[in-house]
Amino acid sequence: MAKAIKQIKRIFPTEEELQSKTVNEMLSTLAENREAITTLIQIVNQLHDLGLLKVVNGMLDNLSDVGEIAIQQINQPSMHNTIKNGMNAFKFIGSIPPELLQTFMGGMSNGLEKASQSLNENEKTSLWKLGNSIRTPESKAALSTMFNFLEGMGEVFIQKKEGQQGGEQRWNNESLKSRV
Amino acid sequence: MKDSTFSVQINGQEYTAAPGQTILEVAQSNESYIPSVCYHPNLGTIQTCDTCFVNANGQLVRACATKAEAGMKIDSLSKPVKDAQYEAMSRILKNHELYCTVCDNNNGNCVVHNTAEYLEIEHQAYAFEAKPYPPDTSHPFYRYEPDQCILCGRCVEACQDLQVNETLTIDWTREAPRVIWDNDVPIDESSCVSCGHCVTVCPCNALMEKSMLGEAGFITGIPPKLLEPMIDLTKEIEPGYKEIFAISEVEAAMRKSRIKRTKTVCTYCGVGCSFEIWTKDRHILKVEPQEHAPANGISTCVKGKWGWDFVNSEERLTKPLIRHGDEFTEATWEEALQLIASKLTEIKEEHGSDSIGYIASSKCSNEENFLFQKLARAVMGTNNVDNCSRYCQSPATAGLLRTVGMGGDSGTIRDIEASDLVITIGANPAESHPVLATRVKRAHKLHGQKLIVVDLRENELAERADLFVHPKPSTDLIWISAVTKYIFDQGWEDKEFLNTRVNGLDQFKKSLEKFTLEYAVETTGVSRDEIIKMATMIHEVNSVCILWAMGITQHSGATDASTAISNLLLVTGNYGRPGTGAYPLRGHNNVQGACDFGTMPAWLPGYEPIQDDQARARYEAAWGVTLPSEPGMNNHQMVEGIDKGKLKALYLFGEDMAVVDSNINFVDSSFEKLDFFVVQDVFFSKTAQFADVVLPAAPSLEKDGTFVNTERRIQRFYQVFEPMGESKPDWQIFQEVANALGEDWHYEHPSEIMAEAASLAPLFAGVSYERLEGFNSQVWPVTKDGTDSPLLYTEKFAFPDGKARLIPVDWTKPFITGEEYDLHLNNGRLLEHFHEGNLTYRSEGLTHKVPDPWLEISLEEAKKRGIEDGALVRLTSPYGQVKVRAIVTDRVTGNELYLTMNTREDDEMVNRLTSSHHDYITHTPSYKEMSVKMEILEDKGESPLPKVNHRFGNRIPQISVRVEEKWKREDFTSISDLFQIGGDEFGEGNQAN
Repeated sequence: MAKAIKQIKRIFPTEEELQSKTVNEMLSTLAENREAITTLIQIVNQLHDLGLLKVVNGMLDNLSDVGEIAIQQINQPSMHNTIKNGMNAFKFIGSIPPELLQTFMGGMSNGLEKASQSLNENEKTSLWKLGNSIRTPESKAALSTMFNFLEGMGEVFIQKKEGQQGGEQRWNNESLKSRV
Repeated sequence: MKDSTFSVQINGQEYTAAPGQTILEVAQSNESYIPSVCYHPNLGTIQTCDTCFVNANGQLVRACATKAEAGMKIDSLSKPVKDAQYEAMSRILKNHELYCTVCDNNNGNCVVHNTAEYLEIEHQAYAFEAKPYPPDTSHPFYRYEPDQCILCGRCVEACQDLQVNETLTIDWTREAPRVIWDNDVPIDESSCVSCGHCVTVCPCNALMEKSMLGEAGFITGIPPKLLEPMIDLTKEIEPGYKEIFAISEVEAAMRKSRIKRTKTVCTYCGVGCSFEIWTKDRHILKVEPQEHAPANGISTCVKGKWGWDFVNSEERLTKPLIRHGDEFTEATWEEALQLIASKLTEIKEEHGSDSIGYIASSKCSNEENFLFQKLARAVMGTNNVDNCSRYCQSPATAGLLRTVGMGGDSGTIRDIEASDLVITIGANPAESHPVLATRVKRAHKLHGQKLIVVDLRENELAERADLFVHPKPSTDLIWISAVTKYIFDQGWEDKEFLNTRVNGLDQFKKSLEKFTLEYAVETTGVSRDEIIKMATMIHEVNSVCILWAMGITQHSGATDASTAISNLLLVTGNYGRPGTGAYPLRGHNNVQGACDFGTMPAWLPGYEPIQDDQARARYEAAWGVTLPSEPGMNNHQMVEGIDKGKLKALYLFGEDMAVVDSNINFVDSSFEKLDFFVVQDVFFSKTAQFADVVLPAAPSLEKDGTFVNTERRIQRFYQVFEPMGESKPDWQIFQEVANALGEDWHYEHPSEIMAEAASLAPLFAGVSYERLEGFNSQVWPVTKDGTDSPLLYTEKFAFPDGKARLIPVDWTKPFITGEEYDLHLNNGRLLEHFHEGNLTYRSEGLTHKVPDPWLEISLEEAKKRGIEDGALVRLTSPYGQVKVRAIVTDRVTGNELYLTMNTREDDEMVNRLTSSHHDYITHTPSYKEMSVKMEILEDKGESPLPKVNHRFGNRIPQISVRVEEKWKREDFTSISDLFQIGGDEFGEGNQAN
């Protein structure tokens, strides 16, 4: 005869048993990773000596509040600009073909050298001499490059102006053509 | 079919298209990408998002709504087309903030994210506008965030036309349209059945599983106080979405390493839904259905989508338990196994092999059932092995075996979907097989499928049916036979089919003589018109499927009634063609597989009779033993055997027999008499309370294996978690028990068990784990080369001469309880809980929706007895009593009651009332033949069903999302119109000719 019973005697490990099991597991982990752990302790010690741990501790204690303050600081118009400009700068650098930049930088550095030479010589330059020097192939190359640069910049300025006026409808015209 | 295909050009490439395919479908089936947000392969065309605009033969059209034509030239890449798509996407983003990296839906599969990225959206063209509605977090499992909702209507389409629950709509008349539930009530108070379709199809994070929120991403758990300014900051800087996408993609890729996605098969009914389950350690993030899942596609029900909390329940059994006097004590596996081995050996030696019974589980895998019957037969030398199909579909199996030769559904869910006429008899698929029911509801709503429902209760399908018939209880064989006779009388039988493919016609026809309309009307209460109408509807269509369940099989004449159904199908030629056949709906995830793989007293795996010397010899040679040749005891006979002292010990796994067998007062007292009882389960069940040893088993999510669904479809499931505590997969436990008994089994993986079964049972010759990889499946019979058989009997029936057999049957009168028992008692399952609720009550959300069982009582009976909702009543039958609270409802009529079975309380279990009477052929208990008397303890009280239950909701049926209403809005300009306006502005006509 076996009546239905619900009573279950569970054997729970005692607090001490659980603790000693955990401690043993931890000890073996420590032993297995002796070198890494020792280095870690050294680092922690140094951070502690510098007082950095206390700072981090304080921040973590108030993570949500600190985060809020931080995000508020970042969420300012000047910060928006900084970030945007930063990103644009990165984009700009990324968009330049490296060979081109190299040529330009080479030109720049050579130009700087020459410029500093003339500064050092402290020689007075007459207008006549200046006019003559424009005719040299070197100066011509530099100046025409400069003008081309200005022209390219101007193109973008004009495009931008037009774009603001009728940009949204732009595709209509083109798609229309393709249909016809 | 192949001849009618034609070719179209997409972006200069030639592709093959089939008639009726839309441009988008052609592109997708050829892996050519056209953006689309609202289109979903399981839902079809919705036309709300406009991102799929293409140029087809010079017209700007939606690819999802335009049929491909022969020679069509389609362009999806040119600038104007991309600009149109860009405009559509920009409109979407007016409704949706992109903060992908901190969004829980950023898992690589976000449609809005991926489409915006494809279209190279750089900046917000129209400023995002928050909607003036707070998020709805009322539902326990999911939340709606209107601010993120892009109004694509996928959720509405899924609810209206795929699940067909008709709860969701978009109110296009408001200034700021949104999705609403019923008549705009909180989700939790609506008619929502929590099936999860809407959440699954949402292309963004507007509808999300609550279990995902703050859990899926690395930084999505940030409190709102911090998160909101972070989103503001991102928007303010707006470096262009390209950069945002880059970061969010890195984050999504990082998530992949910690979110595990595992394919599994649902264990809550016989439909066999398969899906991925997403987990992070032991936390279940969500269930993610897949379009290519063979039985269900993206469909799920409330249990499959949300009901998995039990796996991590603290109440799980994690150690073996051994009875010592009046309590169980925890033991080691070694102690438990030694005790089992010594006790079973002792009893076997003293009382013989047949003094021990083995009860298998329809919830466990094929491999586990195969191994269990091997343990019983080969190791312990008895055929006393059975499973719970004895409680449900054994009569259907028997009825089909004798008429058409195979004991399973004759086709697949696709056939049910495609049928012209579906008849359900004594079944409530909308609650018991929810995803299968959605296919019927969809075909009926959208594709003109006819539906006849025969039942005692006006269940959901009955409400939707073209014809609902309510016969007197237990009289189905009579009206079915009368319909069959009427068909013969009218000359409507399929003569050609009967001549060429069926035996036994004359004798059968003769047996129908007594089933005249007059006799049927008198005994069944079904009207003459209804019988004629049913016969006429069957006659008028080209294909019929009949679905049935416990309303047929839990009766004294259940096998005969099942036979009558099969006879009717044979007479009308409704076998062996797409859209036809017999579908006994399997109740449990693997009740089909348990039978298929041999846990039955008279059958070896694959339905070879145990008495078949040749078949037995095959197993004997493989296993090196002699097998007992006579059929053993079934479940019913085992309980009787205990009572009579013939059966001394029982080994049972995964079955709460003390709750689900009929007449459980008798079952309980029998269990008390056992000398030794082993129960193996995931939880400490009611049955376990009688055990001597309780073994902790691991559920499906903690092991590998296969199940067979109601379609005969074999599907693999994969391990998600390690078994909890010291629990083990059942197959490992059987192996350890066998080895403790002196065997030398060493299966390393369930695939080896399947390989053994496939090598021995011809029915599964070509079944293998390799062929079942991932979402692949095989529908048995499977030949050696792996060819499977979704539709049976296309050429011949499963008898030696290939012909079906019409079997004459007669009506068996039901068990009559006695005059003082004046109320008929019906009973069954319900949507939210699986059976008694051992698993589903571990889910807080499911318990919130349905906390208690209830008794349904008709309006007239309640009035007569002066009771209201919440009344506490005691029901008494000759076998026992229960005390339950009532609900007054028009789902039942007259003196017919309905008691749900979701309880673990001793005094609420319906089987305290049922008897041990049974089907005279299969011994399936006559659960549905009982009458009771009622005593009122309190005439009103708190309703057992809370107001947050879908049954109190108010459905809003409509077809799809009504996009025309969106198009009529004043603030809507159609993208192709905008095209023309633009043309005028630029001073050029847009007419080319």
